[in-house]
Amino acid sequence: MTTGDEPLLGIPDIDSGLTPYLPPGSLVVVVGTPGSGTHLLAKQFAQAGIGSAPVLYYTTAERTIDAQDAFRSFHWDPDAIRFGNLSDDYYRRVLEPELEVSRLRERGLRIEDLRNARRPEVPLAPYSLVGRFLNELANLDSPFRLVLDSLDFLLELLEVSEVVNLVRQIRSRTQLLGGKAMVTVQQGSLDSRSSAMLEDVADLGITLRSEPNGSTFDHTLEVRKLRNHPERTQIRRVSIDENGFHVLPS
Amino acid sequence: MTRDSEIADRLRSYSSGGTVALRLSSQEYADNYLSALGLTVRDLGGESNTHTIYVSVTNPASLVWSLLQALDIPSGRVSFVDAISHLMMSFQNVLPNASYVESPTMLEGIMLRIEYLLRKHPSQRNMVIVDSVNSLAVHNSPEVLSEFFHILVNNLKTRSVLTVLFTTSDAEGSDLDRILSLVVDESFSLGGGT
Amino acid sequence: MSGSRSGPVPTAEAAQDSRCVTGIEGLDNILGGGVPRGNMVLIAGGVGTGKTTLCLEFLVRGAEKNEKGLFISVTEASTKLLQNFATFEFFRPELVQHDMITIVDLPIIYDRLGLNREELKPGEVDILVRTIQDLVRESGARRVVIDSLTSVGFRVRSEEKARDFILKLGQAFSELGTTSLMVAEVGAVPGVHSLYGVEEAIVDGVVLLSNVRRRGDMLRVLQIIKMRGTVHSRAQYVIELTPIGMLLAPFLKGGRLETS
Repeated sequence: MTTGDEPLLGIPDIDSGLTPYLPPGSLVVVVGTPGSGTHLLAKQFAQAGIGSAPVLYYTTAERTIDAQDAFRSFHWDPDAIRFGNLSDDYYRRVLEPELEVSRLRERGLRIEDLRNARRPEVPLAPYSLVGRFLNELANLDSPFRLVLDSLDFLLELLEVSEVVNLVRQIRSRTQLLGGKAMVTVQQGSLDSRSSAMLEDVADLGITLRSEPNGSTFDHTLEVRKLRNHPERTQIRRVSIDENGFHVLPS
Repeated sequence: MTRDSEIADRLRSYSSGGTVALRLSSQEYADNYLSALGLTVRDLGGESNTHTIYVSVTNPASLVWSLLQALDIPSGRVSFVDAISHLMMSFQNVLPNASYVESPTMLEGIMLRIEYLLRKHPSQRNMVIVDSVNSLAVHNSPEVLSEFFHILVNNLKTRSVLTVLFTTSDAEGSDLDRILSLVVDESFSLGGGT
Repeated sequence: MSGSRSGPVPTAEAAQDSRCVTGIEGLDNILGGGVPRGNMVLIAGGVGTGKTTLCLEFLVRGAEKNEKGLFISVTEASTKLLQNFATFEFFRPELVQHDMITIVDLPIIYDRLGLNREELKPGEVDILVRTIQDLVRESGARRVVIDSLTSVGFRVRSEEKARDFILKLGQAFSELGTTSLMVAEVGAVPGVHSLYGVEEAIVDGVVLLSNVRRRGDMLRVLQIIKMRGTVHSRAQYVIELTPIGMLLAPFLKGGRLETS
């Protein structure tokens, strides 16, 4: 059961300033520049929820096995997390058959290709990436912690309005059942209007930046929005070690 | 020589194809009918191992078959096209060697069943018996009936099949006479008359 | 120049090869010896009139004469078709086992080629035609059946695309010297023998199978509506689907007729 005071991002110095002000069901939207660590922050957020609620980690950016290895490399337990891979599923259900279709169209169909093949079953509804995800969301019936990393893959396939609607559904489910959800998106993936729409849905808005500084990069974490608490917005310099993100002393 | 043996001799002469009418007198009809079956299915059929296709329109095939069994006819030598049982709704005894046409008005159906049976017995000599012309006339107009017999008889003739048409002589009208005279090579009377 | 002829005099063999003998005796008689080779023929009829059986016998009789056949099934799965075919004495499963008759399922072709949309695009119609042509060529089929064209028609969705599909398919078959039967389901509208009404105008022949009522009797009737390249009977024939094949008898003309 969530108590409401479990870690939020898993970065104590930042969590302490945010958790008291977030309602039990909240959505975090993370926007990151390339190389700023959005995927890592998503994983840190996921591991911070272990033990307090079922954790669901949906990735579209990497193979599940790679994501699990990344968890282990930070000494976080991937076995305590339920993984879903939307890009793998999409590849298997849509892209792979399309590739086979292209091959057969190019080569020409042969009788051998038809022998022992079964007639395709008529699907009750055509495959829908969003539909499958929403179905899993609808099957949740208790507080949860959910990560969708990232929206970029969906934005390539769907209309922006569909993606924003999906995020609204996540937030609505989070509010209904309690728990926390995080979605990530690369900076620049959305136009200003879509960005504003997404920002509107977020209870907590975070921007991760990575700027070159000599031979290294400076990482910053901006809490750019905390619903009803604009006084809590902040910009913190962060660093990454074997425990993930942590705040650098001012 | 008896009248029956004369008829038997004449029938034998048509064993390689032709159309004959056997006119059965209504007086002592049952005896005449049995004689007709004996002369055709038993004697002619038995002598040259002829397969008989028996088109039953007057009586259900099951009844005719019981009479033929009394004459010791083996079942493999006779197939029935029964065009009356459906109409009479008498299906208590469905024969394995019978093919049923829904109604005696479905003359094409009769033709097709005969055709089917001829193809099923291609290596045998075949004989077709229609029992009877009068019963078919009860259900069909003379125009259709003459068309039917014209097509059927000519078709069977080209295939060297002997066709025997049973008629009841007393009940024949001028239309039937005209049809028979059109298609029949020779007529024989059983039980009086010539 | 009277009496002069151009080209070689056709031999009896060539003349015989110009006909695709269906092997259905009565039908060949009324067609003047068979379907002109390369013709595309619509087998039109309502439900249960014997269209599929006629087509099957066409392929079986061809296979018996060493002419390979291809059956493209749209509505029935090939496994179920084979079960149905097994009930006919004239059908022998060895013909399929030895590739004398090849049965393929069009829905599997749709699936493998990604033609899963409810409506085929013009380019996809071309892919379908080319694929069928490839399969005919690969199987070595001289006889092809598509059962049914109506089901394909539901996918092309327009008169224009249906016309395009049949024209291209007809051209492809003609180039391969393949004689084809296309099953068309027809409703109760008299004089209409296909889904869009254009099919019957494009194909080379139309054989109509129907149920005719005569004084309470229901008769299955066959009639050649058209057949390019041959003189044929236009009369109606009563048919019977028997285990040994389709039999035909002349339709007797007495009595009043109503088409059901």
